[in-house]
Amino acid sequence: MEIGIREKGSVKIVDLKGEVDLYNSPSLRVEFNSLLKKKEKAILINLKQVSYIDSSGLATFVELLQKMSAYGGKLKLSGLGRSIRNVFEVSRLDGVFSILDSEAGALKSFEGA
Amino acid sequence: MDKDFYPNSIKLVIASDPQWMHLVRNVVSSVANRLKFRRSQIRRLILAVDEACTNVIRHAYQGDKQKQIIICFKVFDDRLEILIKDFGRKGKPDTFKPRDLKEIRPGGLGIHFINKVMDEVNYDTSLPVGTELRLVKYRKK
Repeated sequence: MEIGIREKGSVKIVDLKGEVDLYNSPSLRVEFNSLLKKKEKAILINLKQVSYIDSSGLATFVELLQKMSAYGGKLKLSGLGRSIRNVFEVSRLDGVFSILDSEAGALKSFEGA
Repeated sequence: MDKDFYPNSIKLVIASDPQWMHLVRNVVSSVANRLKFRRSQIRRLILAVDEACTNVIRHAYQGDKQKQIIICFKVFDDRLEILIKDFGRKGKPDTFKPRDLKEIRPGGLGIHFINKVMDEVNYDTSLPVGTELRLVKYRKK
């Protein structure tokens, strides 16, 4: 899995590429923890190039969501392919996360948040 | 011949190291493709087997990467059976329950995925050492 972090305005965008599983979710957690340390207010995770996610990956996202919520931060996800969206649906996390189709749409929704 | 050999079967022996889960997923995908499961079913089968192996690594082996997991795929006319055997700490199958999905917390989703995807899920803890999980998915005609 590759992790890239960029910025658009006040939003930190985390670009993920590859598979998010038990093997690489610990390195993702490290990245998330460094964002949490800075108390980033707006984070968008771009999953457009993620081909697989398991429960370990989902757990990492849930942790990030809960920790951000504790200080009033906003987390959004975008670019979920069919199979990734299906995993969120089966675990009913699609109703827990703010999921948007496109990065542009997600960035716009932060403006109105 | 290995006394445990079954015709029409594939046996995969791997170390309990998360880095090899990618390989397991590829084998599940190949076998399920060969059996002409639908693409959506294949994705779910991959997830179920991956989660089962993940549970072995985390719970039976407590994260020890040096242990053995044996995964056996048995192909029948009407179904695919996947046996996952470990030699680690035994759990109590009646406690292997998915968490309430209304409860938002990290973890506890693996069992939910396995139960949701597979037609049959049985844990055999009667073995002298370890546990064998039997997962069955029927092939729809």
